[in-house]
Amino acid sequence: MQSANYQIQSDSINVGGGLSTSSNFVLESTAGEVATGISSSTNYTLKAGYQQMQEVYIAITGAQDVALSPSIPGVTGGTANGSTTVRVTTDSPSGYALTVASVSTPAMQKAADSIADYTPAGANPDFTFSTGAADAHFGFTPEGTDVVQRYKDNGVSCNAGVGNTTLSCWDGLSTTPLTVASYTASNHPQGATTTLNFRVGVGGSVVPAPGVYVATTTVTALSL
Amino acid sequence: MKRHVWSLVVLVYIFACSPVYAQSSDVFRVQMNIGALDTTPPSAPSPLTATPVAATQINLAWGVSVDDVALGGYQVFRDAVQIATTTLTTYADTGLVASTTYSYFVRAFDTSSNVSSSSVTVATTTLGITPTSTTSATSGDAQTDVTLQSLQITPDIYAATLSWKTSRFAQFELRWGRTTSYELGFVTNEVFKREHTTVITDLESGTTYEYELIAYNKDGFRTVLSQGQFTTLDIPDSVAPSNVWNLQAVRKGSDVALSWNNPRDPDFAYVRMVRSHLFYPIDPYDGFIAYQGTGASFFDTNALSTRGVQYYTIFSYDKNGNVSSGATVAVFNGERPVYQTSTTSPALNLTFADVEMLQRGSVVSPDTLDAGYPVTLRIAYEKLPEHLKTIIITITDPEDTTLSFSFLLRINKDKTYYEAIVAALPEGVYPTTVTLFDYKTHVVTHAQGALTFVKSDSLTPTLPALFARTSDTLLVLAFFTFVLLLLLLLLLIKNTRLKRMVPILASFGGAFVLLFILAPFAVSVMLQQTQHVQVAALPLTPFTSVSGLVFVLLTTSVCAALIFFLVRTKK
Repeated sequence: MQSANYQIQSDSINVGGGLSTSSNFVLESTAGEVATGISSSTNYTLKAGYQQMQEVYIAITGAQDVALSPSIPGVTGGTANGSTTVRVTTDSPSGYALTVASVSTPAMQKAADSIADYTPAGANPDFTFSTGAADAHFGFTPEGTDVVQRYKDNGVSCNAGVGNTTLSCWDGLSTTPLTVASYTASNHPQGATTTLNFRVGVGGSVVPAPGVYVATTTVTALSL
Repeated sequence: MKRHVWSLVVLVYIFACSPVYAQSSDVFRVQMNIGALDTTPPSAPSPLTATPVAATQINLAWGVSVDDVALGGYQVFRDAVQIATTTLTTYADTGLVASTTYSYFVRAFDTSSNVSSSSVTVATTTLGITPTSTTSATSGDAQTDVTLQSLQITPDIYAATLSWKTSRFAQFELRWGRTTSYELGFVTNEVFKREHTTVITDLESGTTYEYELIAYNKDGFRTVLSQGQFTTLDIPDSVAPSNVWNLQAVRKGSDVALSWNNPRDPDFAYVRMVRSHLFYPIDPYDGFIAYQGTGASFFDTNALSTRGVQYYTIFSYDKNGNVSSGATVAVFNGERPVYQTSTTSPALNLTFADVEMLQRGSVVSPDTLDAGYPVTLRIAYEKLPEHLKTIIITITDPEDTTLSFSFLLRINKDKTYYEAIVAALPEGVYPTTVTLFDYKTHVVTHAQGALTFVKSDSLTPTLPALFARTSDTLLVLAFFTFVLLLLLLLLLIKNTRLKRMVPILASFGGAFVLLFILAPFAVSVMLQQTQHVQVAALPLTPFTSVSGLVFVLLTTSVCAALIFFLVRTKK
């Protein structure tokens, strides 16, 4: 039950209650909305009473470090790919939103050197990851059943249609969280997975400083 | 100063009123290695061996090369001509000529396209051809026959994977079908190997197939390795089983005797009886589990010793763990509780017409239910109030109206309907009541009707009405009558020039009858007979709009022209 201003997690019947017995215990069950309050210590928090509180459960699992491969030779350039899959599980009746953000700008850095975030020449996101001879950049694209419209495509362009073509609709990471997936209902207990594909493209006429570049990335699942 | 105070108030308000969301985060690293210019080639593959295994095949194998950055793969050369690129360290060169010598060398390359020096060159000669003959596994020459060392068949829902090992290098042929004619397909592999794997696709689920596995050795000897069967897996069952039926509960002092009939679903596993003194248990965990098993009766001792009422729900389970919506019954030790009955709330304006019936996936009429099949009873989600409610459908025995059995309607997975599946019932007219307990308004609503079960063979279709509205039917009849009268008039008059119009007009009328009366009528009758769908009216009535009329005239004209020319050509 919900309106624009509030949402009730679950309603209940204001009737009932009674005595349950066995040879080992006697339980006089309660009914109604009377809550006895919260007790807590350093080791526990007790939320006792009838429907004292139902907290929304949300968890994000599965994120792994990604090593893009193959290594890109310094002079000849090339393309390296990698991915990680995260699973979001929530019992929120309104679902969740999954965001991704980098901790730095540009995202991929090595001491004083960096590789630029992917910025499409045309529409953003870019249906095809394009690397010109003078480009060296780092992009990502999400895939999964819950990806938001921005990353869906009609086979030609992004933010159009209902498709989710493999390795299409490339975007650049930003320190501002970008919503990549969302769902409007509980998905507990199965959860839903979203795969984040990453790619570095280095053009033939660019010579990035050799070494290991790292993009520290944050994924956040927010209950709605 | 005043502005700052107001800003602070607004900020505090925004902060206080912001909704509190739960969130979970994780951090990971994306790592990329940019290398310096790689100009060092990998080491040359070594050692290289070439083994002739048949008259048409030589197998190559070589040692791994090493690169300082990343190895890309290998180039294979036959007689100094590159024939393949591979990332493996073996290669089977097929399609060769018997008793012919070939020379091979291999080179490695890295991801920067640096190529190693060539391996040593080796030369070998394919085997000679021996006379081809056919043999079986039981009558062949022990020196040349291929024998089966192991065979593993892994069936899936729509496919099956076969993996096997043979005693010698061999080609294979695999045939399969529903019968031992192996009529559905075959696959062959011309590469001589000892370890084989192949996948058969496009199979049907839950179906048994016959297969025959044949091997050909290097001399072309044919050996039947194995004949047998495999069965593809069934499609995962997510359909809830039917509820138990004829659930009865009789109070005997403070005890309760319950009996019921288990559903006839082929995958029925067991029932769980759940009891509560508060109200009908709405799921298998909503109360005390009084009984679980495959029986059809249970004596609940002292169930009413401390309670004035006990509510029972029996859930049936299938072998895949699917659970029915539940069949219910209540037993009272005294007077039944009185619910306030109201039909004034618009939210509870439920009628029996709101209950849909489905059999074999199609919506059917409550007057012509097939006695041979279970029926799904359902009410659309939006027709019921949002807040907590229990919906019970009670079906009364037509031969003994004191007997009745009830079912809970539970919301489906898509949250589109509240539904229950009732097992197939014998022929008869079953008085049926839908009862809605609304916990918010504390009222109960009833809607009454009847379910009529008849034998399948008595479901003779009634002639369907052609059009949704009587006005459409009249319009069509008027048009047809006009064409008929015009035709008669032309036949009666003596003007020979006008008489030439008769065949054209007759073709036009015939085409109209064919397209818009006979064909739709045949389709609706066919739907009734094959799908048991009562088609009361055709969905398309294109006569009431300008574009519809244009469509009718165009299609009739084209069809009339065809009829006219066909008749004329025949003459």
